[in-house]
Amino acid sequence: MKKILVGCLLVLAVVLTGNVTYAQDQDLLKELGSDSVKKEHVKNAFKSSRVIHSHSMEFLGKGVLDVRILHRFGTVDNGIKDLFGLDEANMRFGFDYGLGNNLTVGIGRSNLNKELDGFIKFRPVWQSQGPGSVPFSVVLITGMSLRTQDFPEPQDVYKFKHRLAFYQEVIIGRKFSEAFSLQLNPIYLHRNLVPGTNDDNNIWALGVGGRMKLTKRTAFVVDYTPILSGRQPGTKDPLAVGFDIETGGHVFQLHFTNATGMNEKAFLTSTTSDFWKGEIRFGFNLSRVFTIRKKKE
Amino acid sequence: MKKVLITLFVCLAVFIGCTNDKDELLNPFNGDCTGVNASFANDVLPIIQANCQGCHGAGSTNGPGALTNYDQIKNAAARIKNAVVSGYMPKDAGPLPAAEIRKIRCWVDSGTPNN
Repeated sequence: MKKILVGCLLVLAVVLTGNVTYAQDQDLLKELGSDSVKKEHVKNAFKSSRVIHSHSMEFLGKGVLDVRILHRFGTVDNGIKDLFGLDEANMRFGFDYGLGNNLTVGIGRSNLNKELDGFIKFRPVWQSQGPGSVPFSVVLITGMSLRTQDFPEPQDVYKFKHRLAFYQEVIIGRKFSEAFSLQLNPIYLHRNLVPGTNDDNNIWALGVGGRMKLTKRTAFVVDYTPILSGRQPGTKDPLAVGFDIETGGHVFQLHFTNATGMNEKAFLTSTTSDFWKGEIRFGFNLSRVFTIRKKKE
Repeated sequence: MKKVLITLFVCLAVFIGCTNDKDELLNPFNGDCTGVNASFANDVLPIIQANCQGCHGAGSTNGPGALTNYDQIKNAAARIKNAVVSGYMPKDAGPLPAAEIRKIRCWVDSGTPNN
């Protein structure tokens, strides 16, 4: 397995190096053609505002509402008996809204632990090309989740604060070419309440997300979030691979993953399935955008 | 405007009110089930309905199979106890709260009564 991972990393490195050269060539060629090249922001690094389970460096436009419906099914290893996991389903629905081109807010609700979650996502640095360009984007995200499922008796030992978890995330990403984007997203998660005496309330993880465009409307995406410290005992690193398919205003993200959780707290602390042992689930993210506020002419 | 947004963001990011509580310490349990009135109908079945029946619903072939009624749950009681005490179950949903684990544990240890 290590060999496969090393192989994948090598391929990634080769692709990445090639694309850096390609991007530089493109920039130089553009500069040759005109004396009045303007600074332009780089768009469509990812098709969606999520890689698969993690936030991506992509933003909604100002005044755009993204209605998101996510499903994660049961593990596929039981085969046809439960239709490769389709008999079991977990879901999250959410609404993300672009307050500005660099500011998005969102809320969602998952059936797992009946959790509500919300986030604010801000882009202080936007990758651009042309004079004074910046070669990468930096995105800051803060979010929280709230367990609404009742605690068991004796309920009086639990306070409202015990329902909460918080996360802070930084995304540093670059669209290397039309075909390839890569991002690193370190995450810090804090849970106010953990199950065991020896469990850590703080978790650090380093997400890696990549997108390789295959055709005009499809792309291959990988989303891997290794946990660096504070791991909840028995849990595994969430990993998802899949395809983005764009059809008009919809983006379908079809994927295979070992994580059921669909918010940061859930997928970082509750993923007990092992991707490499075949404990894989089919899942999809469905995203439909609506322009609520039109741009002023 | 940008400065205001950044300031707002930082204020939200530096959250207040974090605690480092442990469920096991809030609900200390020394293995003694005296005083724990674990009822099948009022405690065990609702916990299993809320947390297990996504994967162990009617017709399930996962692990011990369906866990929808007393007989099925009784037959799988030892496996259920081991799985929830170790935190292995519910799968991909995190361990149950300590008080729920204690209810299941004490119900199994008391001989799985249909009470």
